[in-house]
Amino acid sequence: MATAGEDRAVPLAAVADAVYSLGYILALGIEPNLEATRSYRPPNIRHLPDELGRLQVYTTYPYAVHVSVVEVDAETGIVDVRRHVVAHDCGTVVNPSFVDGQVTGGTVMGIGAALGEEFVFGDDGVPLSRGFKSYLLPRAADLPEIELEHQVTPSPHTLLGTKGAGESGFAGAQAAVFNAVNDAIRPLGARLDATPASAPNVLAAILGAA
Amino acid sequence: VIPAAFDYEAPGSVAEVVSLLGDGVHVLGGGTWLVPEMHAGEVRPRRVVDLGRAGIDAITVADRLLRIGAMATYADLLASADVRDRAPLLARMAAGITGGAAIRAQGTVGGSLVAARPQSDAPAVLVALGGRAVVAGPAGERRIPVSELIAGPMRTTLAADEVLVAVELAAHGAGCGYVKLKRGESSWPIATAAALIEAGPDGRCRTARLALGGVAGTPVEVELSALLGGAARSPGVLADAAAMAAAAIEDPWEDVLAPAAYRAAVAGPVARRAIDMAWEDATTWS
Repeated sequence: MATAGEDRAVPLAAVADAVYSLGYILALGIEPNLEATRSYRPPNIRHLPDELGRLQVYTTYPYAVHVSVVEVDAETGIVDVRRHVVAHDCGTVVNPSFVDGQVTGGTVMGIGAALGEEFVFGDDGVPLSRGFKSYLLPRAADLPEIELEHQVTPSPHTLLGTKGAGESGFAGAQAAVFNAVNDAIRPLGARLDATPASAPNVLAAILGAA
Repeated sequence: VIPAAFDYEAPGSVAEVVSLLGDGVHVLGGGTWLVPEMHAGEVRPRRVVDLGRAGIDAITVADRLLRIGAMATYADLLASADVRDRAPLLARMAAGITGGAAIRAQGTVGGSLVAARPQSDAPAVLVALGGRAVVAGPAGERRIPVSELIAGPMRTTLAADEVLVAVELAAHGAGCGYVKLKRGESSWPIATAAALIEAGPDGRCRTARLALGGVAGTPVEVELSALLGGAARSPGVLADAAAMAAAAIEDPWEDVLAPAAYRAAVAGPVARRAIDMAWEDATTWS
């Protein structure tokens, strides 16, 4: 440890030992702690607009492609997700099982948002979705195994080349499943323009088109 | 935490149960409805009478009648060879009870019947089976058709000092079909159809019974024997039966999971699938 601008230095171990064993010889107002502060700035953040007015407020953008295969029961509106494949890129994968869990969890959340999750309110504004029997989350038996493919393109802007892994599941899954439902009911002349593609909403679209 | 104090009784006989009943008294069966309702403060009984020690959980056969004790659980139904042989429709229903093994081991057939929730499986199945409710009261036992036990959504015709002790069923040799439509694993049933078909060696229908659940405030019995009697199984006949089933629903049930229009629309298809399944079962069974 050296003092800036002076020709004096003490080994770090001696400093640590002094703090540990002699810290209380200091005056009361001086905290006998060793402390270091560093801040890291991703090099690609831009909070002021460039000549085209563009901002760059986030360090990395993971991306994913979702392909969903669904079967729609045209008599009941029930949607069965038969296959769901996700290819995603979160840069360097540090812990593969964590990444698998993040992407799978996000994907299931997206499937649930596409097909079932809905806050329902009565005419008086009182919420009617008050538990998991009325606010329907997907359960394991509602889903196929989520098939994952990893593409690794390390980010040049982070220390380890990592990118986010939690984001790429949700939005893509929601869109892919919802589009698959619309694709399935298109031959019937039906189309949904709002989530969720719940059985009552799907059947209403089918019967409305007939 | 249950927010209100109450007396708890667990008598050892039906006679003692009856003597403890009255206004403000709730009967505890498997507890899958009552206990959560008490925790939520939705019901505040002054006394809870637990049927667990009243000796009414047995499944027995006597005089060609299958007797299901009111405290028999869905797991008990599944474990019973008598149920499998004499009322396979009931076994088929029990296997698909929402909630998995924990609920199947806890919930009771009698409790489901007395709760009379439009969305529950058991009431419509027991109506399809022509079940008779055995009711105990101060004057002794009386028997009424299950369809007369259910007065309306969440209401029965039981007096305040009466308790359901069993359901009796005549054994059926008919083919059976059960279809349950729900929005996902965590969903209550939206529409159920329980069908019983007896067919001759030529595959033609002899007798038909159908009851729908979930689609109205109480189970809907559909009289199909005149339509299907003597008929051969065909898409046209099944479509006619589905139309008759749909037409039998006068006032569709509605809840947070599905509006009335949806239930009215799916009743026909669900009925048709159950009838087709029962007819298939009837012609491959013998």
